[in-house]
Amino acid sequence: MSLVGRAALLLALAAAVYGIYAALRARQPGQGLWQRSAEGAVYGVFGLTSAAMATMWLALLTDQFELRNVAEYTSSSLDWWFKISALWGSQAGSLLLWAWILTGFSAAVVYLNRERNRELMPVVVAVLMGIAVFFTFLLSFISSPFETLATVPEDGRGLNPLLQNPYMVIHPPLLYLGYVGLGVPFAFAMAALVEKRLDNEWISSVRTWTIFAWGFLGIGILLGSRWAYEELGWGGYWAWDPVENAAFMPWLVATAFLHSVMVQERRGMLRIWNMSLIVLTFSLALFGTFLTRSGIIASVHAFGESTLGVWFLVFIAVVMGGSVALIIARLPLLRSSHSLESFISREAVFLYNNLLLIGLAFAVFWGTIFPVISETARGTRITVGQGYYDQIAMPIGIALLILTGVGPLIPWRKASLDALRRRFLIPLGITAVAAVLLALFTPAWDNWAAGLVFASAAFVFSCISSEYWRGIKVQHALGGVSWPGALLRLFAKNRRRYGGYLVHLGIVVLFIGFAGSTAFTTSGDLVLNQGQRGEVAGLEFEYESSLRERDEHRGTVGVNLRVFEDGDQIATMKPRTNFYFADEQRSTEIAIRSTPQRDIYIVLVGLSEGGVARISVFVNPLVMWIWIAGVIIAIGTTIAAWPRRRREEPVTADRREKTAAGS
Amino acid sequence: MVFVIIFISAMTLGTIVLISWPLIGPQGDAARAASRTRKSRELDDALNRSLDAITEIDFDHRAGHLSDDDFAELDENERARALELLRRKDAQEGRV
Amino acid sequence: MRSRVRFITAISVALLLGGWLLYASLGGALETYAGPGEVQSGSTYRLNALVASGAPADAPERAQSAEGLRFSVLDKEDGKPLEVIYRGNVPDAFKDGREIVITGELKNGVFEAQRNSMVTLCPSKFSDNPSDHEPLVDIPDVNGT
Repeated sequence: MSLVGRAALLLALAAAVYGIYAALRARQPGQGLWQRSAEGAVYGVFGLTSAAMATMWLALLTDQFELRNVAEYTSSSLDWWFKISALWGSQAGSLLLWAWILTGFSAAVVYLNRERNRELMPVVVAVLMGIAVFFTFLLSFISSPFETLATVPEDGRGLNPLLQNPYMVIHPPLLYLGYVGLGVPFAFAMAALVEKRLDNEWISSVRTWTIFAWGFLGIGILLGSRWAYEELGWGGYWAWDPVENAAFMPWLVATAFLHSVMVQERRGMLRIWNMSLIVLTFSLALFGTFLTRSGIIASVHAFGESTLGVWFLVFIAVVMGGSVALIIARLPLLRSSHSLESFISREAVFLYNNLLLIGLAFAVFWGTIFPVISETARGTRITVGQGYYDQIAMPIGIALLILTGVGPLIPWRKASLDALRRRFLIPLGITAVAAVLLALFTPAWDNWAAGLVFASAAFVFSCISSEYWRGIKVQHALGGVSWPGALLRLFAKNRRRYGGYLVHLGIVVLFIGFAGSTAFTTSGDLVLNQGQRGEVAGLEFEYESSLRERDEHRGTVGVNLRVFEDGDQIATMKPRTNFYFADEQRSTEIAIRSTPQRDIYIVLVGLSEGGVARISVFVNPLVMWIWIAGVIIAIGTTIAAWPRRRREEPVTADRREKTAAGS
Repeated sequence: MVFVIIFISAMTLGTIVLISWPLIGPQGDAARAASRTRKSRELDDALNRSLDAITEIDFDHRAGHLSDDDFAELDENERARALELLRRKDAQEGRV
Repeated sequence: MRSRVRFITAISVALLLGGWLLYASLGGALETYAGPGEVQSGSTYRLNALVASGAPADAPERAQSAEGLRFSVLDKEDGKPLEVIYRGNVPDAFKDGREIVITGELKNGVFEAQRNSMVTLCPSKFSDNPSDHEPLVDIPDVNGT
């Protein structure tokens, strides 16, 4: 078993090296057959990593405890889907997943471009295979998932109960789909630089990839937060931990990239900037993998010392050094065809959005590596507190939120004051009304930052709605459709734009959830005897009954609580605590009751022998909207990224005439 | 053990075939035909992009995101590009 | 001319941002990583140490009580002990011998931790040492346990 896996990875490494050679050879004129051979190598590498994955999964499912990664992360009693997800519980396994997704994407890129982008493809293949070489090398020689143990244990040590959660099953693969997906636009960018094809072609070729990768990364981050919220028992979902930051930074820069490419497409500006952004995005994706795998930031997770760190640093240095050198070599070709003419224009707003996003990414980066810097400079590891992040992220976040509404309404090149007044009058009016209503009927303004977020949310919502309305009117005026039909056609005809605006609406909802849950959380600890009631945040909790159970693996204690609001019972909640005998591990099962207004979140801290229950209660307003926002963003992203159906007959006679008539 | 050896050999062999087939397999006419359809496919893609851009510019203009002057300039450039692509396409298909 | 103005604007925006960052990170809450032997009163530390044996089994309950949870930690290298008092959420993985990071200040010889600041680390995750046969508990990719 181990032998098959190792052989598959070694062969994959060899085939990837050959793939680079053949692809580079194919760049010479008349050597097109070498490109076919290189592409064969890409398919081969994918087949081989798939074989390695299949071997690993087979080993996990059939309890091959002679393999270290099977013995340490599973046990024979584990459910099968956790055995499958245990593959990415280990370091080597997660690298294998990385490599598998990467080679799968490479194969997809080669297949989809078998008749397209022929000038770019040799270098694209070479770059993708270069990354594959790095990972298959690590998997073959540095950190093998097929390492065997000298003595085969009776049973495995099992998976940490914290990880036995559906969100943890899908969170890492989604994150990796995002990280790895960002490698594809990077490869195309490099190809465009090498081949000096620096028009917009490479950008539109990878548009779908970029948006999907960005979406996967975002959803992956959100699911990770959801997991933290449901499993960790401190009532929150985001703690600016280095590992969270590791995924957040490339997401921020990718967001900047998605916006600034539109400036290049429409106005021919920011070419160097876009190149730099995609290099930065991919480097940060590698850095994210590095952070979670190297143990250099020994803050919260202290993943043991690992030998991988150096390799990753070297690889990141090669990627950044190589691409920066390439960009510099092509600088004369990357000149903008236009310049910024007004600070109030669509392109300027995109620029502000970019500066804010990059600024935030840099701030997060600075905070994340601060302990390393301080240790180098002053010999002590000093870290920034959470306050640092909150202090910086809040104003930048609110500014970005407002820009999500402002941007879509501002015309290209130069906005006249008159046009601005016409467009923003109604949204500003709605915002004012909303702000007053919030002040009169809700406690929103008790926290000025939260109030600001809610008011901005109203502003952005009305801006985006007005933009949809404007589009519908134009579509309707073009004729042939009903009003609802016009909306559908709007989405169909310009998926990226109107799907993107849907994502903007999702961002609005997300901020509402953030503001509500950070500014207005109430918590309290209760000590209750059976039958007693306690009060937190105006809710009453009655300790109705308790239970104690045990089987051979674990013991469970739990209490059933009746929850009352204004004297009416609104719920029965059942927080539990499990205790696993094998590894003496406690596992808290939090009870959450989610409604659009608020979450009631109860942790059972302990149940004494005498039957006294201690519980922690968190009342978190509006948290549900964060997950709803995730769904909206996922839908918007899917619409925006969905590839257009290719026209069978690309140019109809009708369009031919129209085109000719216009010139 | 036998199974393992067979499996590993099969993987090796499969990879070698995938890599070398394009170099040693039957080629010539098929490859040339592929290269011709590929060229026209790339032209179609570029043309589609250009036509989409024309539609989008028109839409932006109607929605008020582009001033009349900007629209005129962008529209003219994009149409010129589309026309050039059409001309190339005609030439390629032997229609002149 | 125009481009120079723009250049200067961009640079000053960047400088302002950088200055603000520096201010926020240096002037704000800085916490030094330290072991039990290194903490001194008067500043905030992230204490990194091992839980000494004899930590109470009902730690979560005690941490919720008014008196708080009292336990001892040992320095990872020289085994120097320090007493800690803590209130708030106790991660599931807290137990004897576990490595923790906890934020707080030294007061009268006792390390007074901030509420909810305890984080348990998992030394054996991704360890390359095959003889490491501590019970394996890996802390996953997101967030503090």
